[in-house]
Amino acid sequence: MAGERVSTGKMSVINKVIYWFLRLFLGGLFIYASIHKITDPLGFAKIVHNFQLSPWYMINFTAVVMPYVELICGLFLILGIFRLGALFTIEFLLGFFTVLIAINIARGLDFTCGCFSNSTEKTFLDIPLITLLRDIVLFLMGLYLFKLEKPYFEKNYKKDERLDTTMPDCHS
Amino acid sequence: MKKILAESTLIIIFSILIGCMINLVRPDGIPFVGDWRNVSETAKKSDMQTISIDTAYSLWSTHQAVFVDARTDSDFATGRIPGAINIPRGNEDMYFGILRGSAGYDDTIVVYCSSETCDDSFVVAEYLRRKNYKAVNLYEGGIVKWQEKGYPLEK
Repeated sequence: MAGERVSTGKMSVINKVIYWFLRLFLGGLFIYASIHKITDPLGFAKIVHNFQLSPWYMINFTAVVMPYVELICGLFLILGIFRLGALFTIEFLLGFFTVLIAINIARGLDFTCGCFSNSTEKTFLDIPLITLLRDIVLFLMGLYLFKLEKPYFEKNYKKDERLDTTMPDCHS
Repeated sequence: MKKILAESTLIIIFSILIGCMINLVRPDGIPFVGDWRNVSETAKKSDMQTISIDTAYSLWSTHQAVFVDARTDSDFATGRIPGAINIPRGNEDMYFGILRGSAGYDDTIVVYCSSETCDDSFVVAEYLRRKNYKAVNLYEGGIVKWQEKGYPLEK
């Protein structure tokens, strides 16, 4: 539900701090990562092209759409709008980026990630293995955030369970 | 889980709509489909220096540039611009050492592939620029135009 309240009431103080840190950090990072792509779509299209994994006809479309997926996921995660959907999408994107980077490392390609800049100049953070490691760490942070959302799943699980047990009665 | 998937789908659809609408109205919006197969079109999208067949021949005949062939090693073996060094797209790191031994970072480099309808030369040229070569040029016509003009080939 949009704007659903977070049930952090039962969390310990340390978990609450971690929960809000992860939510703000991941959300903020995705917003930050989208800005340079939105301001320079052609530059980002060039980065997508250099990855050499997208069909040529999808390069521009990816460059137009992807930054807004990142921006809206980041915003929604922070604001709590479709919070779990936003987190799920962020996790999907991080997993997807990790696979793409791993493929290009395996192919021995020299490439820049384009994650936080459209520049083709390489920095320390653009070393492929560092990029891969960073994405894996971010992915794990997202998974931990999902784990901290456990009360939400338990609540829904119980709801489903109640539904299941009432089903036979409905038919009898 | 169904709810999360539904939310995620809505977010993606919403983002696609927002992205497409903004791209349509912004002055520097890009076409939704761009032709990245063509080396000339690709070069135009970046600030890569491109040169004509005449300039390429002039640079070659006066030994003012090092030529880099971005095609596969088998294509390279069947015929290349004499003196060209092979750095196939996709294996840049493996072949880069040959160029490093024969060209300085300030030397003029000319990269080519088969014809205007390939982009291997663009990818390799981008790679060389990342390696700090300052004067990287794209010769768009490729080996096809070179042959058409009757210029020499080496096997």
